[in-house]
Amino acid sequence: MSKLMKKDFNIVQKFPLLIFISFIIIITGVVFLLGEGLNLGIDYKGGAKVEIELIDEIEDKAAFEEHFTSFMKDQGYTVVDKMMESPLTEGGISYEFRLAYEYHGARVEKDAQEAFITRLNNDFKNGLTDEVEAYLSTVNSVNLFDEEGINVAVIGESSSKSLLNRTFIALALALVAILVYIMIRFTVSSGLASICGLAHDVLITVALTAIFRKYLPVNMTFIAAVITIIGYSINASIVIFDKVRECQKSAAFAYASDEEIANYAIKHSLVKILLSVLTTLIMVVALVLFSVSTIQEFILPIIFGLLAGTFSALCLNPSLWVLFRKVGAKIKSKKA
Amino acid sequence: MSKKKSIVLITLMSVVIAILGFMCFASFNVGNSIYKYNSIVSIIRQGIDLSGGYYVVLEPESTDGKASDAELLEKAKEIIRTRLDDKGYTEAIINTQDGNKIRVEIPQVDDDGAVLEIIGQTGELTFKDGSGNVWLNGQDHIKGAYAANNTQDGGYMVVLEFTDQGASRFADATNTIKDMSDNKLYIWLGDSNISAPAVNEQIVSNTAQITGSFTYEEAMNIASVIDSGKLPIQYKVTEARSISSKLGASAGLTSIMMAAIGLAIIFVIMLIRYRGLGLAACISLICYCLLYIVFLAIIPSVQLTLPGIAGILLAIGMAVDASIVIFERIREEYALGKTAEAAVAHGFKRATVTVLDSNVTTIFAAIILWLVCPGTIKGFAITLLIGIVLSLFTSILLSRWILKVINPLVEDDEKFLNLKREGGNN
Repeated sequence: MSKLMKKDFNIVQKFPLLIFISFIIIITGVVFLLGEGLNLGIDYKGGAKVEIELIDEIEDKAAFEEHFTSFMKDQGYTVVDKMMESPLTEGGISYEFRLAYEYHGARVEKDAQEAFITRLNNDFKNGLTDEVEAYLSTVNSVNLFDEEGINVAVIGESSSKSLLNRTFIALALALVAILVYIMIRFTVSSGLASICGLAHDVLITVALTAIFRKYLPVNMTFIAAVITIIGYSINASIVIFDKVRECQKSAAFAYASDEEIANYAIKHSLVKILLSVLTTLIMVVALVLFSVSTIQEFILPIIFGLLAGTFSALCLNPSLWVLFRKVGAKIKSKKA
Repeated sequence: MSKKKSIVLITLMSVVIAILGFMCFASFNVGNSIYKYNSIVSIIRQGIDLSGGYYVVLEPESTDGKASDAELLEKAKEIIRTRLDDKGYTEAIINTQDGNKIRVEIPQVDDDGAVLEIIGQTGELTFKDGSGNVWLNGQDHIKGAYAANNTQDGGYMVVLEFTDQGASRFADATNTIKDMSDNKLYIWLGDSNISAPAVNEQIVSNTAQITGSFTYEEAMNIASVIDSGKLPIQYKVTEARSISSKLGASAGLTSIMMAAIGLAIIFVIMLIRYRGLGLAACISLICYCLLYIVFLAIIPSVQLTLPGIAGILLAIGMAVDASIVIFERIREEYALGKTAEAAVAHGFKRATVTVLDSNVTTIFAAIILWLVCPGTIKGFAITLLIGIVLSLFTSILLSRWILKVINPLVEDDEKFLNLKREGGNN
């Protein structure tokens, strides 16, 4: 450790390289999302959901999806969006399809929706379930069905959407509050740099989640994970900028350049931040390794976020701070 | 502080922690009595996504002014609450959603159909005679019921309003019943008999009174129960979904064990790097976790959900971070030349500023989320808030106190606290 400390630390200079890395990850994520058609998860859009619970994975998923879609079309139902696969707590896999409120091509209005759901339910009870089961047993080597069978549920469109929209608004408000607080307690540049770091962390988390899970589950749990990351990221940023603030107040740094201060701050916050993320990761990983699959898929974004947060706090934020200071100085000199 | 006082305090502290730990995790039967003590951990209410269950969203059908009447909304919620309680679903949670919708969450329900029926209509209101013939029902024959002053006999009574059809049926019913040996008119709501007034003569009227010198509450109760044969507004089910438990049956215990293992590893790291300081941190972390459990169980609006667990993780992480920030600061102070004692004092003082800054920003976020968002995110915000406030207390004050208590027993401060003079942060 002491050897590392004695080395010269110029992270700020390496900024272009570092941010390039982040950029690549984010772009990859965006490409993945667009490629899969921005699958936002059933919670967000509403409709009728058909959930097929099986003991194990379907061998040829694409074929099944195609078959099911055309099969439902013959019955008069329109499948929209892609099929979603998610693990079940007690073991097994669930495949979800979202159906639009349409019957034989004609739109089902609000007052007829209840009847639509009832009809859908009955259709499955009266034969569709058996047909799906028959199809699956011909294309899979094992019988995947257990008693759970097929479950039809209604996802009210307005309800989840308004819930989520509210959450986004709340998040935006919270971010503004944080920004203002940091600007007051530290400096404007620190505030701006912190928020940029935050944005970076959220984008990386979203990108990595999209890459690994092939869709973006926009639901409450994911948002809670994102908020957790924001909380953690801010903490890390504050540790760095607290150091910067201290340097600026101290006489020893009166003639130091911004870069020197930034590098010093990084060097002397390194241990704190690394230990922090290590201890938090331990808690998180302990939960992941021995827990059920649904917790695992929820913890994954948190892990991505923690790593992104550490990276941004140490490597990106200080450089951004230097940048903003420069911009600020330029604006001032123009005014003068 | 003398050595003796130190030892006494340490022993006291250990006993308190042990008792608290026991109270948090152990459940047992009290001697030979029927009382059972439930561990504090099991008292913490679980959200529907952890326990699994069924939820329904009801939306008012009509769009005339009535639909947005807050009072009617409350009444509807009360009625649904009564229905669910009667059927034994006391754990159900009923909330208003988006202003005029009702969201009902029922944990650990297997039979979806049964639940929907309970909420949707329930207990038919029927009027039967002594031999079991049904004369009137709530759907077609009753317009409403309300409590009124019984000016004749004092007390209160319940007034029933019939529809036209109901009025004529009622006349027929009373005409027949008055001559029966069992001349009571039994009023049933589902399976419960709520009243059985005696019928002495035919009553031709579109109102009827149920007298019995009721108190105001009793009369209101009966009236609302009769009235609840129908909800005040016609509701429609717009959302109905069963939620399988995200945790699975045995996950509760496993998660706690895993959390304990995670904490143990953290303790080891803290002890290696910070030695004596780390010891203080570990003890205060144990207290923190126990107190956290207690508060989660005590505070009524806490409901543990999957996002709530994220909140707890974050809070514990921040508690550990706080200690790390403080201790690194102490090491820096010592490296700059201060005595061990001064380094500790100054370190705590200076680092508290940093810790407060980080925690305050997170508290802002948590408060805003708590105020604005409903449901699961609200649960997350509350657990986070409790955790952070608690961590401020334990990481800053408790650690400091523990260090003070242990100090008299320590010979070599520097070695105990692992402080080094060489420049920098190693």
